[in-house]
Amino acid sequence: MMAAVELRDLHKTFGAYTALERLNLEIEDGEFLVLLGPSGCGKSTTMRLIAGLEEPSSGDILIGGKRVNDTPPRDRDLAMVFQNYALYPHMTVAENIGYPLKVARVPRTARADRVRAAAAKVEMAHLLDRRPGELSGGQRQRVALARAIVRTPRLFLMDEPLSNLDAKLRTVMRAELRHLQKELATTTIYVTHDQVEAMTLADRIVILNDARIQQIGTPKEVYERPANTFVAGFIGGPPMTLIPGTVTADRFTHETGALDLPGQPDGPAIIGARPEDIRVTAPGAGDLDGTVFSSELLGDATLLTVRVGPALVAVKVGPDDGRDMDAPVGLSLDRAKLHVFDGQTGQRRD
Amino acid sequence: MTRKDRWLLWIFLAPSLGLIGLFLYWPMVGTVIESFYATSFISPNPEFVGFDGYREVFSDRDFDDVFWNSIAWTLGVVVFQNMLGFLAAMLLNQGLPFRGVTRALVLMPFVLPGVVTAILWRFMYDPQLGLVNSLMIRTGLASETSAWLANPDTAMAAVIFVAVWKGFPFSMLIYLAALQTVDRSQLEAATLDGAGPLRRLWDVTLPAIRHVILVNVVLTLILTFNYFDIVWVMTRGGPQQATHIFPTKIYETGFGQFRFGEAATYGVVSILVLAVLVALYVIVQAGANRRGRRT
Ligand SMILES: Nc1ncnc2c1ncn2[C@@H]1O[C@H](COP(=O)(O)OP(=O)(O)O)[C@@H](O)[C@H]1O
Ligand SMILES: [Mg+2]
Repeated sequence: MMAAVELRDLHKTFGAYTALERLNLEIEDGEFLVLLGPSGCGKSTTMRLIAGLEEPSSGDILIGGKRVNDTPPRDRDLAMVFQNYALYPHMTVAENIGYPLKVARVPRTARADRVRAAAAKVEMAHLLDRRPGELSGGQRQRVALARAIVRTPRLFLMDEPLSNLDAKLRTVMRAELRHLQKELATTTIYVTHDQVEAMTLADRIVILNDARIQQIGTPKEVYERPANTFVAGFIGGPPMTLIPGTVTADRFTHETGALDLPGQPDGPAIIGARPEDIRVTAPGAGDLDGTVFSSELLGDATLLTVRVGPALVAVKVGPDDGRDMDAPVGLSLDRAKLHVFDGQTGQRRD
Repeated sequence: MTRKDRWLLWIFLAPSLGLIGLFLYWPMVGTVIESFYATSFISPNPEFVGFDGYREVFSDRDFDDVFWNSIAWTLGVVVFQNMLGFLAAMLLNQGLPFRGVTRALVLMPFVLPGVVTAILWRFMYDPQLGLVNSLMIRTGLASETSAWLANPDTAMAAVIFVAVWKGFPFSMLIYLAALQTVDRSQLEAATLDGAGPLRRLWDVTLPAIRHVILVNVVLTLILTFNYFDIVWVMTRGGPQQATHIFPTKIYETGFGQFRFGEAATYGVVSILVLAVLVALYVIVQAGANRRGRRT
């Protein structure tokens, strides 16, 4: 059953407020697509439009090649996992998981079999008689997942499903989700504001900001070639350092110094460097000079934060290369991995 | 707290507890005592009769009338008031246009004083001048005017209608507040699971506000059983006792006929009924609180 999803000029306003600006997006059958962006950028709105819980102001939604704008939610054959799980508190785990089947009038015995199978997939088969109130956050999450997969819909929608879990459990559930999705091969649209989650789960990431798509690409693409300064700053932790300045005759001048930057037109520009693409040198020997603000051992690496003028620059160095606070250091930027953005529009150059 | 502190606590509390007890319960105790005496206008000196008063009252046909009237009245008002209140709340919760205005308008009957309501509806039901008759004839629901309040067959239904008209906004307010606490994503999850509006009502909304409904029903049972002003002003319990309920009967027997002993007997019976209802309320409320703590 093909379930490619296509959004054409999808537009949504709430009164005078534009929550989604003419969105165009194609999602392949079986793909795990992550919508990533800060809070309020329109991720949930996109998802609710696809689900049919909101009506688009204009534009079309196609599922499996068919326009579904006028199809009621129940006939769109999709399942959604909510951030707060939205379990029915008075029903047992089994009743929760079986609810979509009950509504669809699946006979009792067939229902019980499918509930057991779905529960087994998320390792909840031993807790079928509990009520949601008696479960931990992670267990509730699993029930919500089981309720979504029990119907074998052609599309999964997940709105920040892991954000109510603690960090450790989130990592575990992330891996399980990824595994489950590949196993079921069901098209999945997943919303999150957590870039790590997006990077680890997605086949492709759609980065949204201010109701607009900023970039669409594989995790590798958006990490290595961010389309603009927003994506550059949003993807990767700790974030890429962005330094505004001016290019004149192949030289980039910024507040605290200058460096060679051949092949760029004159005018304002922003250069960016990821923490792992910056090397620490002796003071005066690099492209930038600063003092150590903090030095944190991460285990396999040390994160140095260096104060350069008014800005803080994140640098990743070896585990044994920590520095004392306030020590003067120089920083040298790996030219091959330098990102250059237009000073006015913030768009990537090259 | 040490044992001594606890003693001190009780000593300090005792005067206020005593006063509260006296205030709250002395009238009731007085009523019970009164019910064992025969007192009347002719023989103002109370004469102790023990349970004779009860025997007499229970064997009287009046008591049966009042008892069954009270049940019909209470159930009629409670059922319709809650159903109508719930329906109105559902409608308002859908986000009607001019919601604020609509809500204020619907609340009007509730804020009207009971006596004013009763007088208003006596006019409405009037066979010659009343709007009810003229409306029914104009819409073809009836072919001739009827004296709704003077006919023993229709009087009870007529007063129940007025009480429901006056009381449903109260239930509506409570249900509206409850409906707004229902988890929206649960409703949406049910929508995506394929449930239509009725299924969502049955499977999500009603279970979520079950306790509010229970508490509200028991509360309106108590309030309705005690209702006095509307019935008294509209019918004085008539015609032919058709609308006499405990409060009107007690009032009439006591202050109309000065048969205080008999009135007190009715009073004691109604206190017993209310005690049962209050116990029910406490149980239901405790259940609601337990649930509130869990979620
Ligand atoms: N029903 C609504 N009415 C008015 N504004 C809304 C509604 N739903 C969402 N919005 C607004 O639209 C914007 C995008 O919301 P949403 O899609 O929920 O963001 P997020 O990316 O955090 O999921 C927010 O500013 C939000 O306030
Ligand atoms: Mg959201």
